[in-house]
Amino acid sequence: MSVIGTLTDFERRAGRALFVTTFPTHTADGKIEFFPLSWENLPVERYLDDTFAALPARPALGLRAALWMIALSPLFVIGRFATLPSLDREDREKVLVKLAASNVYVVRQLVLAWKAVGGLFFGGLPEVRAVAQLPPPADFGRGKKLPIVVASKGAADVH
Amino acid sequence: MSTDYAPEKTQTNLKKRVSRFREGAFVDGAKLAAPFDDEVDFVVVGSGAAGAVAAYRLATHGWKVAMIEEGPWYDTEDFVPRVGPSFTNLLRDQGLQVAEGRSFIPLIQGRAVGGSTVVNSAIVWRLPEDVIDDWSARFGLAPVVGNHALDPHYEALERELSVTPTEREIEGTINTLFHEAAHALGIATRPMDRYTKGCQGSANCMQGCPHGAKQGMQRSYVPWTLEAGGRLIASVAVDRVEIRGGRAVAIHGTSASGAPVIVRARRGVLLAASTIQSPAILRRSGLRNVHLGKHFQAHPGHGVAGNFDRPIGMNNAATQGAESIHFRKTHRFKLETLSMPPELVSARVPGVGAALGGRLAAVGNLAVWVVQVRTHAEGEVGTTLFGRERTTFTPTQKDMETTRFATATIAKMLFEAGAKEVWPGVHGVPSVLTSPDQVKLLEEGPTDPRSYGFILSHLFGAARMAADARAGVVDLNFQVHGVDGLHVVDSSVFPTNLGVNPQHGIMALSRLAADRITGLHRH
Repeated sequence: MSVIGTLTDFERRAGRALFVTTFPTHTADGKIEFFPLSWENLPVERYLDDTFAALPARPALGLRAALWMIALSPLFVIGRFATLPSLDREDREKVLVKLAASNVYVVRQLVLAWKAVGGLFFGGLPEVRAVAQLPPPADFGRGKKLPIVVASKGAADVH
Repeated sequence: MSTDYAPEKTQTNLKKRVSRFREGAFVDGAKLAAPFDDEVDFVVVGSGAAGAVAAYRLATHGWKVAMIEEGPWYDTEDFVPRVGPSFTNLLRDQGLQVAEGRSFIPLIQGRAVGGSTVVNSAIVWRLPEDVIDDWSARFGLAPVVGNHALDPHYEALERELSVTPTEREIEGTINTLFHEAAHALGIATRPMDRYTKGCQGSANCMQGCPHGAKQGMQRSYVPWTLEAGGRLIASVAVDRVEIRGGRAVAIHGTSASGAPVIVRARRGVLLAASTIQSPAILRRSGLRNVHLGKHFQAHPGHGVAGNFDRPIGMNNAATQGAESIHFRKTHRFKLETLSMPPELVSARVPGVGAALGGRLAAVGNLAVWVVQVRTHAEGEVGTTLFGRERTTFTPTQKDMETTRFATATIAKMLFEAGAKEVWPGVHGVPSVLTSPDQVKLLEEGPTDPRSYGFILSHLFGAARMAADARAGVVDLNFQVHGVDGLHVVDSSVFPTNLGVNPQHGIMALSRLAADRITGLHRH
């Protein structure tokens, strides 16, 4: 594995903090559950290691640079001398919301790039697929076919 | 507890798949332990829509053909449902390529046996008449594409690849609503024609069809070429074409295992490695032409999501099944449906944190409809200091005005279809629109390409064809001006973009190219 594709412990922690904050499984007060999941049990570090080990050098470097910029941004975004992983959920979310809404293109792209990386992990989980009415991965291409919903707005046949 | 993310098994069926062909028909570059040397009549670089069709046609004309493919051979039993491992296996740079310019635009290219046909939605469009007229008038291409020269090729392809309109049974709500909303607004639509046989509407085109229904090249013209006596050499990247005495005589490559590969060509070399890689190979082969790498064109796409108060079941339908070319001639854009898997749609849903979580929890209620813009912009395919391909592309102001209008049009359609919210994905406009009155915010919205979430998928023109050597890279026999036996047969040779999906046009032209090239080298 190349040096470029090997994450440090801090980068793994920052990546986890980013994923957990970007894709929460429930509201901060715990009253509403979005997905029947707990981030604590998800193998984020293994996913990050596998992903970066397989990435070409250029995107790997770009994503790592983005991760560092986000991780060190709390000072500039909310005036806190802290790294992203060391903040509580509320402050982490504040930081990410502000970065994502930035009028500076490159800044909002930092968050979008990592949202995409996180989405590839989170969106593939069986619990998330179930919400999207998708079969678990094990049934892919072999399980029984799901019924196709056809709900017309009510107009007549338009073909 | 969920830990079920790990990349699934790959190429489980390769041995069995290969065993049906004669010995030596398939060479796996991932396993080559020693230098590989071969000689054939024609070497075809690339096994996508252009390369596979040309190789098959040449093989049926009786030539000895070798296809060289940079990626490995995956097929039905190998495909996995998750986007991450699918993209790792099937896309160049795992789908992380970008075109650089005023913004970074993701650029999607297949890198596997079958090329992009493994991961596209198999949409069929003949080259529009106005495009043919334009190519004839401005680039002297009438002897190639005029007078309905492509018709017999289209007909053969449509027969061989089972072209059928998207069936009602697999249309699903996402496509039905598209038709209904468009018609209510006076916009003409049609069910997409696609290369499918027994599509089950599982919305998995992007990850590779798990039912073998999509007739990608990896399960049609590639195996047919092997049956016709051709050879497939996979997992080999072509470094350059050897040109000696003004004639292409061999390709030099490197296998995934690191072994040098030489395939000598008694008659010629056909490049079908895509609009980005074919010009790069030409450049590495020492070719110099003022048009090489220039005039790069594309169809940037931007998606708009509608959030409904009832299930849409986007992932239980044809991946793409409904389309409209209503605005193609007047405004230069095409509208389509697009069923996105949760991995991809999660990056497209607005917000982060609790706002995103709440929206994602209703992902089953989403529909995504997209615009493909027939841009005026011309980019460039060059190389970085490290020798990698570098693509630059920035839509023009006119292109952005088109994009803005099209985005507003989709928003209107989604509201007409009953969406309670529209998520336009345009920076500078509220990320959630809740009423049709707010569509005017899009109509008056930004025209900066950095405000939109473009993706580039249809690529053209970086080695364009022109009768006059001063105007293009290849001549009317698809032969590089000034180099005998070196041909380019992919969409690099298209002088312009199309405004419709290109696979059918690419295949028809490469089939015709194979006939013309055969004509140059009669047995």
